[in-house]
Amino acid sequence: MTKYVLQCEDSPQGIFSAVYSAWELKLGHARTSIQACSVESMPNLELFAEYIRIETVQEKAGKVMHTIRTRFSEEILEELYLVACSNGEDKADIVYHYIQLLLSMGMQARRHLSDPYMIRAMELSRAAGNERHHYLGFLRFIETRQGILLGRFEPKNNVTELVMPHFADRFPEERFVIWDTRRNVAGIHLHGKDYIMQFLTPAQAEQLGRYREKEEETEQLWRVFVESISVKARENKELQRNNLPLRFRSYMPEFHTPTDTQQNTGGYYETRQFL
Amino acid sequence: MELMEKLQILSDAAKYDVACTSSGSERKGQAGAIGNSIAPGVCHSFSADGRCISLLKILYTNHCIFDCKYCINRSSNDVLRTSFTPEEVCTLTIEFYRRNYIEGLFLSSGIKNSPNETMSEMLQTLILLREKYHFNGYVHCKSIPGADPDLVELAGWYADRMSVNLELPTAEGLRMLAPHKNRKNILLPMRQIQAGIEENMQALGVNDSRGRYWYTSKALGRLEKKPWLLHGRSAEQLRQRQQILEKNSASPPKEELMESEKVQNIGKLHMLPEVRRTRAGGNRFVPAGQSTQIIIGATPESDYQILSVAEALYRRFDLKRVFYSAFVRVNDDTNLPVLPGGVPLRREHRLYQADWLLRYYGFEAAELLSEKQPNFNEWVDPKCDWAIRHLEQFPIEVNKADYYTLLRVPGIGVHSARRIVEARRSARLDFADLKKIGVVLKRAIYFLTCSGKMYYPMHVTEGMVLQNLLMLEKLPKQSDTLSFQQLSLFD
Repeated sequence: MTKYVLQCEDSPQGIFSAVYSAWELKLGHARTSIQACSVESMPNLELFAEYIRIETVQEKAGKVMHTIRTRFSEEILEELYLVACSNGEDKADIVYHYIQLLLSMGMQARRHLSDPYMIRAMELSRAAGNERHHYLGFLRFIETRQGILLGRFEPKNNVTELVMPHFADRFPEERFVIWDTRRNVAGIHLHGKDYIMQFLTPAQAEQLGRYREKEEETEQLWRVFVESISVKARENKELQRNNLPLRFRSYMPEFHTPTDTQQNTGGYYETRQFL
Repeated sequence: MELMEKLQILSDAAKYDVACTSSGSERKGQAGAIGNSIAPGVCHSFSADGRCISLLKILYTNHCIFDCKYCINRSSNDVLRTSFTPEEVCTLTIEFYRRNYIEGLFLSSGIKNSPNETMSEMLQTLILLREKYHFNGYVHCKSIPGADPDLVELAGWYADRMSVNLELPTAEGLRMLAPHKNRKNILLPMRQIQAGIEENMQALGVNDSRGRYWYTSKALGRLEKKPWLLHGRSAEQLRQRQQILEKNSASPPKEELMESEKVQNIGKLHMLPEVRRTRAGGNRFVPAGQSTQIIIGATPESDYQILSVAEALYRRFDLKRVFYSAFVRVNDDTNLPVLPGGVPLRREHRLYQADWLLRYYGFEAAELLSEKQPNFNEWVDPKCDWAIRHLEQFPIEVNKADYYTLLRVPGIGVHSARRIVEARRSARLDFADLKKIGVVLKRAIYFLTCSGKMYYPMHVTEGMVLQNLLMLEKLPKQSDTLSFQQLSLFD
């Protein structure tokens, strides 16, 4: 019996398109699985499996999302979206099986935590959701000469799109860009509650302009504050590292002294120089 | 003086205030304004002591006419004194907020000239921040003890959270260490704010400014005094438990928190309607509720006294949070203790754990501690400690026990208890499922059965559980080695 693997683009839209195709192609759910990967990066291939490349079609993805929203709930759609944005290699397959289980069991599938797919869905959505929440706090903006706020980060999960609504709501009057420097994905906000998602390469980012000279001053104020707010008698770097792991710190000014500038190549200020 | 130097001095002076949460307010952004607020709060950074930085925590001024023995800013100390201007505070807040350094402002102050003068300057700052700078983010404002109730109320319309520090758990301690403060000046504004929040919630028909303690009490039927809904499985156990509770609560520490009952109906909200309208966040009065802070270890009170005070505050004042601050000896004063073990961080930690047990888990202070055992065990957390002393209530069957019974099992928290209750509707759970759900098995296995079976066949005794919990990281390898006991010929 042949197994079928549907390969799709590594994005929520791509994954939902593939879910649509899985039903459309009628290959049998038991022997179909979905894999999210780009065309160039071929992951491990399986023997005796037929690989089908699925193109991302907005309309198909929209239909799947609409079905989930109307037949089940906004909450479940959110959870699936988190899974689709997560870092797990099996995420596409998890989304697929989640939806399959939803359609056969109804709403109570969500509570079926002894099912291996559901527990994995919980793990992945929790990982993505937690990282999203962390970055609501740990993301840092710098102001460019054109008055644009630029926030750079390197999240493990693809959370750029997930943090955008929060910041768009928070800064309705600001022009800002949140840029995932690893995936080269950016969310761009100009005014009000709307924003757009777009690919942004370092070369394009240069056009946002150099950072303001006064920026250094504000950052220094912040460093002074962070330094003096800590109680010496309670110092506990380990706790600090547990709460704020090092991977979040690369763009946080309080963890980089201005003198780092010369020494640290490829670090924080280096990246900023060309801006 | 340079802004940077001021910031350095006035944040340094504010650092012993522990409350730095930005939780409890859910507010959408507004066109033309800057900022929003989300209910769980957001941590923006962590300082070298591992504490969260969420708000720009500063004193408005460190001038102070009070001479509280424990405080770095007391009037008899020779420190550099300075004040912000309202404009400076606003610029700092907005510039930090735009760069996502902070979630909002935490404004406290030393007392310059008089409580009223200080409070009105703080108030001016808040008004400027909300109305000129259109700041719609989180604001935590300290209420200055002894300030006019009208000023306190006005501040309440501009802030998300307000707090008055209780400072020391008993009035006696307060008299000794903070001669200018008195219990009445602290509890009166607390009562006033509580009454205001209550009135505001009723007027709007909402319930969202209440503390977690209230919700837990409601779920447990404590508000309606229905003891039969409390944890326990047989009528006999319930009766015993009720007796223990009554016996314990009849004895101390009732103390003068009761006094404040006399001032029940002070401070109806009476500010002009315009004030309510112009407030950037709309018509909410202290939407994130109020909190307070107690210093731990400066005076000789026991954990039992402290926890009972905290419980009374939750019950009578509907506080959102009570913060515990381990005493740091910043002044040399004969009235202050020298603690040989350094800052009592472990004790503070145990009190926080117990605080969560009160607010989320439905425990009562009198269950966790008693006159006979007035302090927490250094080595074991309060819930494990309780469970080990109450082995008669265990093991509990995972597939049957109700939510609040599950919560009493060490290793099961609010998330895993909820997941268990949900997951067992579609399947019978075993230990492997529990592990995936997030139960900490190394603590839980002594207290649970899945479908009638324990994890290992083991002989559960106080000593054995305690010994294994202390080894913590290790699961018992073989049950038979554990159940061995030296034979005694003389039994």
